[in-house]
Amino acid sequence: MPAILGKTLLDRRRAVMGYGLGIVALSVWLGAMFTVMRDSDEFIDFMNNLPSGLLSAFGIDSGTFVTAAGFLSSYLFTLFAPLFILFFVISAAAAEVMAEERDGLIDMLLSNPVSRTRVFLEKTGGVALAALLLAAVLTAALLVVNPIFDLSLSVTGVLAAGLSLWLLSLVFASLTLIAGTFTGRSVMAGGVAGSLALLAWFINSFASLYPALQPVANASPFAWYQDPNPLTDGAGAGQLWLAVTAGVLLAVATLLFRRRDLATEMAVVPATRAFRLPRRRKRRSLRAAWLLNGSFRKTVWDRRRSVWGWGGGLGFLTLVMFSVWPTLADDAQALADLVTSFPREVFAMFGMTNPEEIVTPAGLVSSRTYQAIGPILIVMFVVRGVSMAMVKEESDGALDLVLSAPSTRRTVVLNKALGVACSTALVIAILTVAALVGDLAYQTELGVGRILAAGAGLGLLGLFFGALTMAIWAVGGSSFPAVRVTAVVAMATFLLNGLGALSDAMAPARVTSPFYWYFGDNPPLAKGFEPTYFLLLAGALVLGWVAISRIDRRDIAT
Amino acid sequence: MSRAIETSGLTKYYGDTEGIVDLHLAVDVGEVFGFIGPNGAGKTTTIRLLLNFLKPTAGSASIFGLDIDQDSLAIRSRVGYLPGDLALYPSMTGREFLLYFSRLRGIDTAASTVTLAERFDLDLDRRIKEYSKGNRQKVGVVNAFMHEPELLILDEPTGGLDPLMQQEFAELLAEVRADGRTVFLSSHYLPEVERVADRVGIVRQGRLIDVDTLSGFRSKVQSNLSIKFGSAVDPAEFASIEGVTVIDLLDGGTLLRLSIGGSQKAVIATASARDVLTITSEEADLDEVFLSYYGSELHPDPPG
Repeated sequence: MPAILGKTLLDRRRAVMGYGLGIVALSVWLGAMFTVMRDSDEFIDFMNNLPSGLLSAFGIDSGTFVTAAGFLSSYLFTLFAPLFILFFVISAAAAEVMAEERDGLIDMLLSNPVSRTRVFLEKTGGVALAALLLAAVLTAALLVVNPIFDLSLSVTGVLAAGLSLWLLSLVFASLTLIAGTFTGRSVMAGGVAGSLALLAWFINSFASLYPALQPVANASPFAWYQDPNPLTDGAGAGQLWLAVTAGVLLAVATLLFRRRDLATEMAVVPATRAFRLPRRRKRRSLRAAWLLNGSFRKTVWDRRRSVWGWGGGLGFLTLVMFSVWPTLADDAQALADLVTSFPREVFAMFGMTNPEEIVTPAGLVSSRTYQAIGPILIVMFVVRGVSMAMVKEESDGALDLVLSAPSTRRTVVLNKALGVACSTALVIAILTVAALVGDLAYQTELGVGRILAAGAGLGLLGLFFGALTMAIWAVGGSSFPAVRVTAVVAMATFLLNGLGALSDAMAPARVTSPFYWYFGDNPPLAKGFEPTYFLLLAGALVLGWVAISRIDRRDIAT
Repeated sequence: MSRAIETSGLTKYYGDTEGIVDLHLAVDVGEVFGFIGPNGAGKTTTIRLLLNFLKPTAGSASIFGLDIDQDSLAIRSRVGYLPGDLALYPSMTGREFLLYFSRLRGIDTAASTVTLAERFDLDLDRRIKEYSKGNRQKVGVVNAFMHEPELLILDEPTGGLDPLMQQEFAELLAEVRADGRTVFLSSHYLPEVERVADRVGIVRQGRLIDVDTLSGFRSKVQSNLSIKFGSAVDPAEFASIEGVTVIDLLDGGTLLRLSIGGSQKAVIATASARDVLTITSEEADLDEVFLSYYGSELHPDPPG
């Protein structure tokens, strides 16, 4: 195996294992969920008589939803699987090429007699192979689950779906590389590609509700990804398009990379941005004056782009969900009937034991922003914040420098924690403003109180897991994989909440899940400030206190 | 003699910022060339241009007669590189890193790796993130030398090495020169260069100011001589020698103090024709010469 490609694969092995585990868990979870649904005759009858198009706001195609293939297409293949694999390839591509360039490692590689094209293509190939492994894990998991839950999926369909997912990931990996080679910065690479992915997904998901979007939607890779739907119809023109697009984008990225000046951190800014230098310098001195007032401000500042990115994404999603409401309100009765026919356990897995609520505006908006995507994004945001501000600073040795100033470790860590908490609050604030605007504009009459309460719950859920990361980091030391452990705990407790709703045996255990404290039995927007939110707050405070009190007693490593 | 490195008008701008401007430089095969200048003078830019990490704004350069852009691959197979800001993969061991890089070169360097590691007292089986700064630098040194390249491009190579290891490194360079191989050594630290270099180029604010041998630079230094004679002498006789200024004449015309730019030979010849008792030379430190090139505030006009 070529050396650089092999090393890239080796470097990604932990990520592949982690994401693979998540994908397997998801497949089992969704398979189980489907069997529960299928066993309800009432539900099946109802689905077959439903006006089509009504449910598209939930990503559900009512024509095929009652088959496993239709169900998995809407939940697994348009929502969770792309989220996982795109997050993986975008961060892997940015790390392998742009971050290594910034660190000077590409310089080192290229001091050997290997061409730039080879370095670039081997690294990209390594990322692509790792993504293929993930797609293969998903495919294998589905093929194993298929007979167990009697899902009647076709083997070629599952293989085609895996292939389509992989090709989709290659398109966005190539976009990451283009954004990165163009700007020379790994943050930009990930940010641009991530935003494009989110936009493409939005346009494709909501095109059926907004006819105006339809022409644009055909340009979204997500449209090609499911046209034809590989799970039922096998691969076809759409998948071919994905492959061709990925190839062309990769060729462009390769050409750009061959021509660019490699920028290491010590080198001066690339020529393309130099015209902004005088203004930048002025801004920098202003920034310095503001930042030099301690760890709290610096942490908030460092997270500013993420705040806009993640907050903006969540806010946008919220507004879109509100805008969908008037369309649905006309069919509210039909929808309510449908929902009552749904097996209640399915809703319970998403934290709704009163499924009738989904046909209220509160339920609708909650279903996407506050329950499906919101919690995942906010937990990722907070844990990443803690990882950057503390875990990574320690391993980089930056914490040594900060601590060489006469301030106690407790103060520094407390300030950093407050900084992360403050930036989380900002994300929630953006989301809340969007929800308030949506509430006014679409006259859904949710009220300020409930919107604020739901935002508070979501934020507290994030802070809980952030504090958990801090505590693990402070107790376990810098070499202990605090972020990974947190991710596993978050995934496990999320599943515990869902499965606890399904089985009576696991129901008592469910109350220990932070996700249950947040989701409860009602959509967050419907219920106001719940007492269980205090559990999240208390948990965050206790874990934060553990972290701050333990950090004084251990060695700081680099 | 053939050229190892030859640049002609090599220029790199980063937008409006000067990296290196109009560099004309020739390094012969078999010499150790010191490239010195203060931080931010353009040393690293020059090196990264030579290795094709950066594309020149203007001008061209060749290494062993091969074009740095067109023939970069052929060049890099003959070059060993040690960057000033060394980057390594932290989760690899030293041995893994060197193995990885030798595979990229497509050659087996196991034997020379072990020899070099022993020579620099480097434990190859620890992870790079566990190494101290000096040990990390040793991995970089081994990586640059392990394939016995014809040209070594070294950017501040002894940073982080202790004096013993610096000594070892200087010996290694001496061996390289004895083999007839070439070294391009960049540094802001004079003793690092002074110990090994045949010729030195001084670069400041993106421009090459002067190139000369070390003795050439020494000869540009103003040195002071105090000559004690048995009997009074005529200072005009010395003042007429080129480059010589009489500072003063003391002790009834028997103690002459002179300032000499360049060689002292003519002065000593003239003095020895008289009744010389002692000659005391106060030679200026080489450091001072280079400082005069470096700092614009201390010496507005560099000598030479």
